[in-house]
Amino acid sequence: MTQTNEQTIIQQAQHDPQAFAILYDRYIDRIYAYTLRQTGNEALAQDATSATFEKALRHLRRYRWQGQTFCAWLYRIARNEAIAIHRKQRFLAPLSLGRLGEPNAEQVLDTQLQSDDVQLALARLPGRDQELLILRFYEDLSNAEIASILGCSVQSLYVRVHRALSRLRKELEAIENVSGEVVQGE
Amino acid sequence: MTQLKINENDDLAERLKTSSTPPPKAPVAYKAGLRARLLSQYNTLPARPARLWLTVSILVGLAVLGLTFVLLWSPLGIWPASAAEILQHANTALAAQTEGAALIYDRFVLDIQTGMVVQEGAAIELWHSPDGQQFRYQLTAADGSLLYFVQRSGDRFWRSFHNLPVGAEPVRQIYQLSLDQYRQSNLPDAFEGQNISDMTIGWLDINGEHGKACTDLFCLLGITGEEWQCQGKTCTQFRDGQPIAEALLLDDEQLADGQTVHVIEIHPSLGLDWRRVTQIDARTLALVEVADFDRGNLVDRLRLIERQALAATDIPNDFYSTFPAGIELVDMQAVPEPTPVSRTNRMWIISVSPEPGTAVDEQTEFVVEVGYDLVTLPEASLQVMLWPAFNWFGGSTENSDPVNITQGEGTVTVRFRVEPRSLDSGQWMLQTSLGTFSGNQLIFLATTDWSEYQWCILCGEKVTP
Repeated sequence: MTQTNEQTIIQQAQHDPQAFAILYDRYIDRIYAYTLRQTGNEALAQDATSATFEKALRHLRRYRWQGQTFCAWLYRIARNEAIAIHRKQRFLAPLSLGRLGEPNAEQVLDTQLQSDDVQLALARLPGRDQELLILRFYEDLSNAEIASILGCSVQSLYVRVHRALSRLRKELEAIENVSGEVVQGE
Repeated sequence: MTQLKINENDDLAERLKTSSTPPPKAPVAYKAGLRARLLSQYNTLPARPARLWLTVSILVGLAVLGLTFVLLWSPLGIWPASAAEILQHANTALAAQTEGAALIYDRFVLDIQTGMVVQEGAAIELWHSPDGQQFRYQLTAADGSLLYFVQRSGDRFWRSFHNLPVGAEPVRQIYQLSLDQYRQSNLPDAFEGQNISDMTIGWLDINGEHGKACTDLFCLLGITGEEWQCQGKTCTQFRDGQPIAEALLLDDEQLADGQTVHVIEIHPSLGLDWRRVTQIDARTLALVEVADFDRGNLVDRLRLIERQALAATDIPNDFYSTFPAGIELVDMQAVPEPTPVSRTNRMWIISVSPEPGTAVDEQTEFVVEVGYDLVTLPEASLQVMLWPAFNWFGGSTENSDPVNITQGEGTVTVRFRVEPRSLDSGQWMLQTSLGTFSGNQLIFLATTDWSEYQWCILCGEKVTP
């Protein structure tokens, strides 16, 4: 869908429910997948996704195409909802942190069972770095959209991604060094 | 081709992409249920607000700082304050945000509507040292394409060149020069707007000195903080004893989000029907917006989105050596410099048809052969212009389509016909120009003498070409 087409649909959606349904169908799976990555839990992802689209619907008539795509706008709402749910969960059950917080022992153990060192290294990063790399490499978003979601400039985004990847590399090297020692020990 | 890169981590990026399995889709029943619920809520949506204003993020620190200024300000100054006082305090507040920082980051959003250039939501980003001598300035359209780039680091200078008004087309090349090359080129800085009557000043002005970024609010607005004389709400700025600009404090306005702003209108003392309207948050003294109006029409609007104090380590070591993706870096330092004594930018008319002095009309095809020697810049725009002989200072000019030329010597043949609807009958003079764009304004590098090339246009006598 080109930007012009989507702009047209959004304008229609501001007074036509069927046009809104088109937008919903287009983005529901992406937003669900994103919130699932963020929360690590299907029930929480459904809560966050529902809240995202309800909020998007409520504020749709205020939305204006001003350098931020509709997709980025939705993701931004989803991000905020996921953070809100995460905070609530921390209060209710402090031991079951999702991806948005620091990885806990349980989460690290889960990922240690994975054979992919990269995913293990990713799980060891601070939540902010994880989120950044997820948006950058797993969601089909442009750099401009990611910058819009995170509220930073594209240039800052490049700097942050550069740093996050450097930290990921260090974690990965540490993991691979340990694996190498284990293999040698065997 | 130089690209903004995470090249050193490209292998890692690739591993990241391939290491994850595709995420599951939302359960079908869940999707259908949510869809139905949302559509049933549709008719209960609130109506669209009648008026929608842009909102600006206000840094928390400014709230404290602004409050401090309000408390100190009232007993000391004349109340209500003059425009100059408000600007002075806002300037102090702006500087205080980043006091002691090694690097300052400013981000603006710019809307432009000037005929050839229409841009909405373009982003200006400026990283600059406190003294303004090390900086990167880039203007990016809402679609991510680069519109303007200028950077200085040490003795090196980078700049995009423009043979159309800035913003009319994306940048494809960035030229790298030595600072000396740049200064000798006499190329105007980013948007040469020290003169408030320059309509390009609506853009972020980085022309404090040649090759230096603006460091304060006054520079940004194209005025200085000195020599204001105020009477009531009107302040006049003087230079060499002559009034050059006026700042008028208008009534405060309340924006739709509840923010109250001081509104200051700045305009040249003489001549042009042009004004710059500045909004300053009444509580925090933060700059909110600057909008320019030409004969009552909005031509550009600049909003300050954020200002950050950065440490030197907050940018990568190779920050000034990496450039936006898809841009070609052209190293002018590799080009042998011309002998300084013998060569300057110049152009000359080789031949003109029809013969000067004759009467011409809309059927006449002008053919002008022009020689040029472009020395100081890698490229420029060549045009032929007609000036009205009877109204040199106030009349309009007619321009041929611009021809792009590259550095060196050459000849160009320009053909054109006059447009009757935009010409008055009478004596017209021909001039050719070499120039490049600073914002909206063509800055001349070289021109020809017009005096010997004149025609009587639309005077009633036909000429056989």
